Amino acid sequence: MKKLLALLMAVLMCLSLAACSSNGGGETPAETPAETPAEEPAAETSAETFDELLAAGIANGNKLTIYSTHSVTVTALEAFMKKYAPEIEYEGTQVGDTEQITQVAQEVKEGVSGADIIFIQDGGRVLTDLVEEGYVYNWYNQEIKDLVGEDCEPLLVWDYCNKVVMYNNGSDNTYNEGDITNLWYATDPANKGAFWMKDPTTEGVNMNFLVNLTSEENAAKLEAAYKEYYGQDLVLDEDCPNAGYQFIKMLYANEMMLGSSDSTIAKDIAAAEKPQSGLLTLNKYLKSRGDQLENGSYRLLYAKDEVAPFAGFIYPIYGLQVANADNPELAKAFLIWLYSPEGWYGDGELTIADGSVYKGMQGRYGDYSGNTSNPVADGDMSVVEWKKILVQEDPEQAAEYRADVEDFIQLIK
Amino acid sequence: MKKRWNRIKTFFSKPYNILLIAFLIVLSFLVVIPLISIVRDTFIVHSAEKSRVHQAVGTFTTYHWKRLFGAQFSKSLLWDPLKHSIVTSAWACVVSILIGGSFAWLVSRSDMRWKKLLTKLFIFPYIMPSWTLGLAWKNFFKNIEITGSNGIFHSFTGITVPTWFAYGEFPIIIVTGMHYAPFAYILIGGILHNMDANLEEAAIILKTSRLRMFLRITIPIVMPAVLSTIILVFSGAMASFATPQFLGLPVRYYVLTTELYASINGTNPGVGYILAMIMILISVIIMFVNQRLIGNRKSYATVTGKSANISIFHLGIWRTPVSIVAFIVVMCMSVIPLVTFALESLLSYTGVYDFNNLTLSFWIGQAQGHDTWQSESGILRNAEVYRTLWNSLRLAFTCALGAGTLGFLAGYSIVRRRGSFLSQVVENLTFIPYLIPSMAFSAIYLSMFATKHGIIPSLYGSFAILALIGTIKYLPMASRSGVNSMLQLSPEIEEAGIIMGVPWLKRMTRIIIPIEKTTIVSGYLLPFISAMRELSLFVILVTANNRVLTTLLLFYDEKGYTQFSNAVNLLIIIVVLLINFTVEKLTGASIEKGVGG
Repeated sequence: MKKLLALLMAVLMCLSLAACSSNGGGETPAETPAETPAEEPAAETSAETFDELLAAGIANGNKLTIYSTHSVTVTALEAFMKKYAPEIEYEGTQVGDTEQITQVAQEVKEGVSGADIIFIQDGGRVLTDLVEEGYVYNWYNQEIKDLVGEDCEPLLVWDYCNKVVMYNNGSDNTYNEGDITNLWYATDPANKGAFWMKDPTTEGVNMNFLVNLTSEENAAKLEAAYKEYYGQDLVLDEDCPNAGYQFIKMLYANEMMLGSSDSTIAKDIAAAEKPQSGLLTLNKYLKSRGDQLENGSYRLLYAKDEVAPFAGFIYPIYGLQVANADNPELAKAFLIWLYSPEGWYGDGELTIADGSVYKGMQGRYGDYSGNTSNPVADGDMSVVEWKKILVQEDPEQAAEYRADVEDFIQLIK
Repeated sequence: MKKRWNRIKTFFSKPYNILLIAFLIVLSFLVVIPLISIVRDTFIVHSAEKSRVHQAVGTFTTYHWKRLFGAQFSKSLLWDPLKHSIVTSAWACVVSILIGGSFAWLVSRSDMRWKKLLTKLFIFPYIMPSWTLGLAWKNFFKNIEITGSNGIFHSFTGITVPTWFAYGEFPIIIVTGMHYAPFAYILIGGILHNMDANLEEAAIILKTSRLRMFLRITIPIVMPAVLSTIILVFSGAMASFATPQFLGLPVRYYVLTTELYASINGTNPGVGYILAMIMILISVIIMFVNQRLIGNRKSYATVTGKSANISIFHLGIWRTPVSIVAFIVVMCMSVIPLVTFALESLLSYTGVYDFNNLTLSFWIGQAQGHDTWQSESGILRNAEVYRTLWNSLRLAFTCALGAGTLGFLAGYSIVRRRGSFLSQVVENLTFIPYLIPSMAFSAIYLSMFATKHGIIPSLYGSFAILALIGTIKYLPMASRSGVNSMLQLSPEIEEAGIIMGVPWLKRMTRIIIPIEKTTIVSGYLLPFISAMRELSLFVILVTANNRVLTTLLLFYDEKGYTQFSNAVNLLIIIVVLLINFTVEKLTGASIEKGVGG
């Protein structure tokens, strides 16, 4: 008892100490609103050109730092700097979206030097946590506007990625091409515990997809597809406001499997000896082609337009400017360059830091430039075609309803 | 007035008093403010919560409390995870005591074979990162019923294990129990080893049966150690994150820590902070129960002195079978996991355990391009791996130096002023970091040190913040071992030095440190190993530029670079084992001496 009393006293003593210290060490990152340096307003198209920005960036002379969820931007930075600004120091790091949100918010708020430009997914949280707080802002100039068009707003799209229904193939016990024709198959008791997704609570784009399913438009499409699949009208449970919620509920009730990485899920599905499927980035399909079967077919196949109402979802990786950038001019020049064919694919001569040729997105499935005139990899479909058959991420709807859907999942998971 | 001044002067003329005051001030800042901070964070709106609370960031709210304890969410957010945490932790205690206790008995009281080798191997699970066994379990038992692909077990036996065996409650209990079995072995074994043989001899003379002897003498004597083990394992299991994350997530089995992680990283960190508070509260209750139950009986078994002649139980015809069973269990806990990591890192195609499928490419190969599974160079020619290895080593070294030194000094000053109020306050302060869950602790340090405070610059993203949090988090281990070792040292030895007029520094370096050398080194070794294999404490403080090996492993794992993550895991274990055995060989210190003192 005496020890406990001593502990209590220690806490009390220090409470007074904490009260005396300047607002205490307990100040949280979110407490004071960020002081945003005066920057160009996001809504207006900047008049500066690539050449002007590049010259200004070189004159600025500060180091250029990028954080990106995508590995190609990191090598792209090496290629760009080597050719255009060899005298300037640079650093590119691959950082996941959740980590990036925390890191960027913290750095800008505290005025610590960090990224100049970020490439990040999870539009819902980027909008609420970073843009609304003034830590990052959306920027584009006329050159980008001409290439990217309406995808400049509300957040500038650098790259589209898609996650589509992928399934195993190759033996009598697995799926055959074209077997999956309706997304409701994932809720079918016949496929219990055999449908995978990366955990929506750990990777936001997956959660955004589920949130987007609950929009009026998508819910209506799901409702029609339900009738097609089960042959009867969908009857909503009491806790499900629409077919989107009902789909999510049935998905979880059917023991949807949650993974921590698309690659691992893809490998497991490909190696499986009974029907297994999931929503995975298309890039995994390309990688698994190396694991071709002896008869020439692939272990892993993906659905295209045969799946009603959607074969998966497509989400952007945005290119956004950080409020306290050390070299904002060079960051912007780099962003413009990324949309050029040279930035997207390299020109066959451009090299990266280790001396090898910069290949950018060459031969890559599942990555589509915000500049739709950059051709896609051979064998893949264009982003326009994909958008027709996939749920397209709506960051504003996701930001508004994410808490509702997360709470809904919390209750049914 | 003069009298009071003289009293103050006398007080401060004693180095241990100065040390205690210094500890009081520094620890109040580094330990108590985080506690207050957690409470505060449960009442404000964080930026991720704007869209759910509909209030400005930083403003006051009771939303988190209402949500967590309200009728709608309390079951899924709080009661279910809490129930899961308690169930898995309680059963993990049973498993660890059964495995560790029986092993301790076999080693100290029976004529089991291969004791030397087995005792060395038995400590492995504790030295290895906590997720190691969980990952190995997954590698080993996954099968087509669950993930669709085959694990090693299925490949070799053709047996398909059911889902409950591969994922969820059962494997979490077994794996956590095995991870902490070394605790039980060290604590119970220590007592069995030092037990006074006279007690048993007396029983033998009185013709007591073996069973009665075991029930009436051995069990009561090891009871304090069993209780200590329960406390340590229960709190350890409650705070463990990686194992329930690996084995619980696929079947959506959540415990408090995984729910805390999901909340802090998701859109309701406020709820996460309340969960952290609840976890601290549970730890405090456990500590209180501990103090009430065994506080005064801690040295119960050793006070009678060591007996030179412990009676050894002859296993007779059971000697070989028992030894083989023990051997198999130890192998399953310590060697097979390492083999699975090695094997998984050598597979060119996951899930196919075929000789033709083996490759060294993920260790020494060149990057193969982004349309293959090997988009990076093998780990032995990968600059990033060496950079993070170096970061891990210097971080672990700094934490060990900090925690070890402070722990020893804290132990010294606490014991010298034992019984005084000041000493008790400091002793409790040094123990608080043990009670705060790593993840919540680092979330608080992130907000505390991101901002410049007076003379303390912003430490965000720096090496210093990692070193600082590691030092404070591991201080309880080092100070416990410091206190325990100083308790064994009679004050007369130092007093002799004082009478001879030897200054404090010289007394420390010439008298106390040489005598306590082995225990002091153990006090350094434990924080070193803990820091090398730490994940949850560093994961949110590490930025992309100062990654350590464990966060690199997590990065590879999240990217799905299975072979790389297995290879890095093996690398961490090899480095830790090498350092542990080198230190043990050179100084005689060992991890066993650090656990529980």
